[in-house]
Amino acid sequence: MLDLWQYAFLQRALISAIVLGLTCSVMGVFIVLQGLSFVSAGIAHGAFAGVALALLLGFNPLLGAAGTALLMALLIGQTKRRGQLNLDASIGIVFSAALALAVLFIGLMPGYTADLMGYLFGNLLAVSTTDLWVSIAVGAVVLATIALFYKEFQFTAFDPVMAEAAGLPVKALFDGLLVLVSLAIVISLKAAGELLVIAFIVIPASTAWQWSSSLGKMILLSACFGVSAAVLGLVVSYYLDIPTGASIVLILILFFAASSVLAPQRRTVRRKRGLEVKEV
Amino acid sequence: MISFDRVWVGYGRQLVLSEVSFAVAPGEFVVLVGPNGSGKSTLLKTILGLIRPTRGDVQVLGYANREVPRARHQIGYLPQISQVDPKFPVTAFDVVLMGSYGQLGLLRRPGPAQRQQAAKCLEEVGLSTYLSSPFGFLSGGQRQRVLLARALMGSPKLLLLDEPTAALDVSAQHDLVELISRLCQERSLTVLMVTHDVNLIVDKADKIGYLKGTMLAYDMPNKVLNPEFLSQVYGAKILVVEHDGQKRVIVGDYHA
Repeated sequence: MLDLWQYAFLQRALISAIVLGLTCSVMGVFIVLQGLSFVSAGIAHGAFAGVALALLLGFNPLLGAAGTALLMALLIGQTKRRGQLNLDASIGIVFSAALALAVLFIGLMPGYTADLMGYLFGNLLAVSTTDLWVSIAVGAVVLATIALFYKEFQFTAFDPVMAEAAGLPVKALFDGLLVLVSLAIVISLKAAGELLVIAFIVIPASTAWQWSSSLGKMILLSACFGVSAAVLGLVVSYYLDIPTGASIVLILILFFAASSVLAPQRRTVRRKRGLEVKEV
Repeated sequence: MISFDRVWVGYGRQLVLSEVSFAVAPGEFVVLVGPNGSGKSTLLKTILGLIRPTRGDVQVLGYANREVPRARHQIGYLPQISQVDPKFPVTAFDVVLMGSYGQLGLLRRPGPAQRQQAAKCLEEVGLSTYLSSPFGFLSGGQRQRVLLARALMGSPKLLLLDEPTAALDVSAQHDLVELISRLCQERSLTVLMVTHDVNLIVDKADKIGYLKGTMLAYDMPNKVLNPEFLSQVYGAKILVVEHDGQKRVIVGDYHA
């Protein structure tokens, strides 16, 4: 096992996997609890369209991804506020538009589009030192923001009407959450790919939810599932010589399937034992 | 405490309340009754300053019109239970603690004082042994009592209750109403409660209002419990009968 980590590209891949696993899985808790998984898919498609546009016009793909992901987040926030359409219907429209634009930009590109395919499916082993530092910096900002506004995000996710009645800036918090998701998606794009980053956000949180009776516990478990799947997936992909992204997602699916079988029994047992009492 | 003077409220072009006038004095227990879509929840949101009236004057706890949102920290609000997801991973204690977040403001974490107060509020609603119980594991009546404990955090002067007994069984409805009534007397709270079921609170209310887009009547229970008037409000045949000295409303055909 030790010889695996002697290569610099594998060390970068490992650190990158841990950063992405941690950032996306913690972020994912607030997305999944509010039923916004489809929002993360919409933003990821928007980010991909931005990468295609950047490659077509010849500027940094990460900047393109960040620009369109944030634009997508603002559009979704605005649509929710106007309330003329259901949120999922409006995301579906914006989502389709982003995908159509991505296909259009790819069609306009001359020659082979291997770079673009890398952003679609991701490649952890191709992460550069600069990519890694950007991921660490942005991931730290995302996690620090969640830690700072933990109680506000908790309250608005649980009961937005009451949170607004208590004077919390619910609309700004929702927009802020979408911006954080956009940032998490953008830094994960090169390593995990547009299609797999959604799994990184949705599956660890959904798995953790089955075991959790408090938000703190759900965040901790989601982070554990995300990071351990990322590390295990990388190791498995190295030894079995299979694509890293697919390996990580399949391990996440395995965690989810195992929890679906095991967790409900545990809940039943807890119910039968009666409700626990804790001193404050 | 609360004063509405010819108030109009709407969402965009959709008018929900028109020419609503009423006043609630300190210490009163006021009940607003009306059919679905009559604007009851909108009226509560107007008092909370979540919706601004298009016309008329509103005063809440000394704050008028645009200043109404500043009264929020003196108001306890119990929303309809259907708006919270019982599967959300949160304990009963966490839910009650949320009642302090508005007063704490952004970035400040609840400290020992808030935690002690949350435990005390849970004790007041009879759930002191359920501190660490997951919210979703509690019965409907217990969840509603947890939300009531949250509304009591911050020692409010005014309590707004939005259909607090909806989706509860008869026994839980009765227990909750008794609890609310007792807490209001102990804490000298002013209460404004909106409900479908006038029978539950008819003997507790100081005043009853009938809302159907506008305030059709607003007075003491004995004066407004009029069968002809109620039939007109609900669009169904309604009788008012007296049993053991208390008035009861019966909906539908009645055969003696």
